Amino acid sequence: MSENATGFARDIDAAVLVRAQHGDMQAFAELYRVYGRACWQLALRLLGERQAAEDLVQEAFLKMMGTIRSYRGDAPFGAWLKRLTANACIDQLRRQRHVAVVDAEAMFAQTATTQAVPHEILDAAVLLAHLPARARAIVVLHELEGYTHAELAAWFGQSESYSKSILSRALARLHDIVDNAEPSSPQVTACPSR
Amino acid sequence: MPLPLNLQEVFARWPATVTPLSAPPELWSRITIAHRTRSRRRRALQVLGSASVVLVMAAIAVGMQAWRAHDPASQARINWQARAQALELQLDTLPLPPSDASAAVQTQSELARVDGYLQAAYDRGGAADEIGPLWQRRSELLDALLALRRQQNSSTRT
Repeated sequence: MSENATGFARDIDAAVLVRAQHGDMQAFAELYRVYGRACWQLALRLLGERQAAEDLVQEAFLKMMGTIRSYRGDAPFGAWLKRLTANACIDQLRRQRHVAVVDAEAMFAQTATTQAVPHEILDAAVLLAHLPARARAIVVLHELEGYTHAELAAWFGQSESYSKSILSRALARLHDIVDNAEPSSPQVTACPSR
Repeated sequence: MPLPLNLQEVFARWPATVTPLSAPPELWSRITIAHRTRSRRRRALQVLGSASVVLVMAAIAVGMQAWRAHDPASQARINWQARAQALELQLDTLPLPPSDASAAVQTQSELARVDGYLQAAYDRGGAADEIGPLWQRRSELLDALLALRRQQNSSTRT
């Protein structure tokens, strides 16, 4: 396993994958040890709620356990699991109709503009929670997970320019939130999951 | 101030200390419990499915037997017809004697008559209780003819 890589970019021993493909629970536990945190971070950032993220990670891992036999090794396992998790998140947002609003103006109007942000315990997820669900998904998948606008356009059934426009508006919204927050010690790390 | 170009710049200006995003420690045990529950449910459904298939097949078999028991004509027709066809094949394998004995000639002519009745019954769309006995008679005649042929062939060889 590569020591420097983090999150979904971490390698996994091929023997562990083979054992997992045969339903070995210890191998699944190892996969969770390596990728569980990255899945959790991605789910929390996309869904914006801890309980929803927990449920999502559970569903994503159960799905992975059920479909790992279909993993052929064409892409790194982490990338495969990341896509599975992101798909599950977007499906969940769709089910909750959070991504139903297509019009960018309407989408950003639905979420209050700049809110007062509590400072006690904050993390990147809290900041991202100030975005509408679809905008948050585009920001996280593009900025933190490295998906291209073309991939996001296909994911959401929209054009690339739509994805770029949402990203730009979302970054502007975050910029406003940061501006309105009280200044304190800026020791922030983004904790990207890749 | 210009807008940030990317999320990292926004994060860099975020005035809060980031708490590490860690999955709750009990999440894996939750996943294993859910996995075990689903596996058990899936196995139970498989067993239930297999049991249902066996039950349905047993019910069909019992139903067929009951139907056959209540329709002896149909059962007889199937059996006598199959038997007659098998006997005919056996008869075809035997060499023809130089001349048939009179008993054989009589049997053959009755066989031809039964064939005629069968044909007429089928043409009329005859019922099972009419056709069944004809197949039975045909089978009996073929049986007799087979015995006569075997007897004739053995006496010709000696």
